[in-house]
Amino acid sequence: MAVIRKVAVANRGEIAKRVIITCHELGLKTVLLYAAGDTHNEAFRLADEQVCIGPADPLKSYLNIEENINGALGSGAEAVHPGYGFLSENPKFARQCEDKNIIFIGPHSETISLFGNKIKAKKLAEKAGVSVLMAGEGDCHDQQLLEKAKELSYPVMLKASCGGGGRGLRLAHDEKELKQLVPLVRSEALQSFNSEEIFLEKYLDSAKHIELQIFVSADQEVYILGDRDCSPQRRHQKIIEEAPSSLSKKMKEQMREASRELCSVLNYKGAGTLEFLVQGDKFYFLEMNTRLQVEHTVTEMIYGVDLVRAQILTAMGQPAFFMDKELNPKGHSIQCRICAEDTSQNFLPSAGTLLFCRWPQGHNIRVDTAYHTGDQISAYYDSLVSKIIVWDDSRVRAIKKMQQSLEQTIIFGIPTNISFLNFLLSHSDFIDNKITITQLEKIQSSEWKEDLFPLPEELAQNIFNELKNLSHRPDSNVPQFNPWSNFLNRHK
Amino acid sequence: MKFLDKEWKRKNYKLYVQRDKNTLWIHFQGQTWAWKNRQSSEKKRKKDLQSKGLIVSALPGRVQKIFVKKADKVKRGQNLLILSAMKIEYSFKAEGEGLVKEVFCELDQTVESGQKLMEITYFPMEKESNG
Repeated sequence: MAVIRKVAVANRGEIAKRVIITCHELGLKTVLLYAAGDTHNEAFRLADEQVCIGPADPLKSYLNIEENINGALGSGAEAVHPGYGFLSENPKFARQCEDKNIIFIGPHSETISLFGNKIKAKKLAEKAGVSVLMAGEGDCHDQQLLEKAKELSYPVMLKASCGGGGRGLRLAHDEKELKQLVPLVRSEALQSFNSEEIFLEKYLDSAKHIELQIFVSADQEVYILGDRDCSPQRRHQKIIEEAPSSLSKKMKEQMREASRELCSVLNYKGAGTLEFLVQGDKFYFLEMNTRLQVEHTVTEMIYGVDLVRAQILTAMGQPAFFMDKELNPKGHSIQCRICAEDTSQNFLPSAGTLLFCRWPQGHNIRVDTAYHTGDQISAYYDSLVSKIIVWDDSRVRAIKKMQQSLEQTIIFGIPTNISFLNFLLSHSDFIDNKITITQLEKIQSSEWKEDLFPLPEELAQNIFNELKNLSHRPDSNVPQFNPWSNFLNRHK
Repeated sequence: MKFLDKEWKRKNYKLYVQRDKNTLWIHFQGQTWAWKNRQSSEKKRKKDLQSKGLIVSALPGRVQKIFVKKADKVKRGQNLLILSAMKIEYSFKAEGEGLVKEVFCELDQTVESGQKLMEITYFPMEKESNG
């Protein structure tokens, strides 16, 4: 069994804070590997130690393998938690950790490498009997790609084999478009992912994004912790996630079996997610993420487990879950991602200081955030401000609770996407569980409108002027209340 | 942040408010609003800047692509440059016919918020007709 006393957190924001808190619960010390300037948040304040690993630019800090390794080594941490994004699925980073005797909290570097290449991953899935939508993989030159696209029938997705996080993928509606996109995606892939390899995928326009949470414990027990529906996406970024999905029991069973098959072949370790596209009564394997996901929270809520704790315990060689084997889901959980985006300016990301922040509170309401009043949202990183997660005994009640939670939320200082989230939560297609992966764009462009400002203009102007007067009023004009004044006057 | 229980024209409003420079942040009936003071000249200044053809980065980011060089003639809607910031690409387009007066940035350069990227001299006639 491995001994871990101190964990280095190679991430930032809410997930860094999430990991730090769980480490502290387990009695472990934490060291945050942070970028210069990224200090106005709860992750920085809560960590036992902070080591600066470079400038604000993530390429030079959070994505810099050498600096992260040096930071972890210098602090004497026995293990590194990579969170999600950044270096969490970088096999070179995991390999470096292994070489330097630091425990990488996640699967083995070779496993990461295998799944990091989407073509290889899909081939594996095919072997395990799961359908995939791929064509044109391997050393296909451009002309071959065009032929393959014809076979698949348009529209098709052009993807970078090592892409991820909604990057390195483009949609082509016809041959002309594809011809233009091939060199573009190739160069993008080379630039961002250091590999020119691309492939085609049949584009399903009314599919749901369903994923399965898996966890493999230190003693190779495979846990399948249900599914999640993450179909509501904007520009390939998920914004509402829920568990469980609305798929039929039969289909869930088929997907579970396929996933179990896939995991047991691989000598997997820790948390992972298998992503599928579901259209009609067919499901297709998309990719496997060898890390914790942003939306792991909704699974935690319905299973009553702590996946980060399970990850750390597994890294220590200990049993992952207390209630071994008998893990049963209960109720329904929804997560909304609050992003710093200006909905009035086509969802332009925004940055700045949170002048005031009030997060929702209440029974079965969970807020995963690193930001509070006075903290800063940096433009260098993604625009996620907070994840609001609710649990209730039914989906209808969970939706209601989420709406209430969003109404309770106050964020002053930067615009957020809350009004759009609110609109979606009351949209009939969401309530009927019919949202597909391409639908939010349509809803946004054809149905969604910012509500009209609800106050009389003169009232707003009045309040605005009043507040100005207040802050500019010299001290001498402010009526001073002194608890002793009456007393003093009496004795004059 | 201030909580106001305000009566206005016989109606009652319960509001959370905070003023920041020219913006009044309001939380009312479960929704947050950023109300802009129209009396200010900030918007005007921005507009003037645009009409002068100065392209300024609104966010820190990286110059991903530059489509034109100094002294190039540009047409309305033509791509000038692409900036990538916070995982998203922003393309700047020419607002009318004109000439590239100066390019202040280089490919792959990291730029700060408010940094000048490019200056275009728009031909006055064309701009008006596009009005």
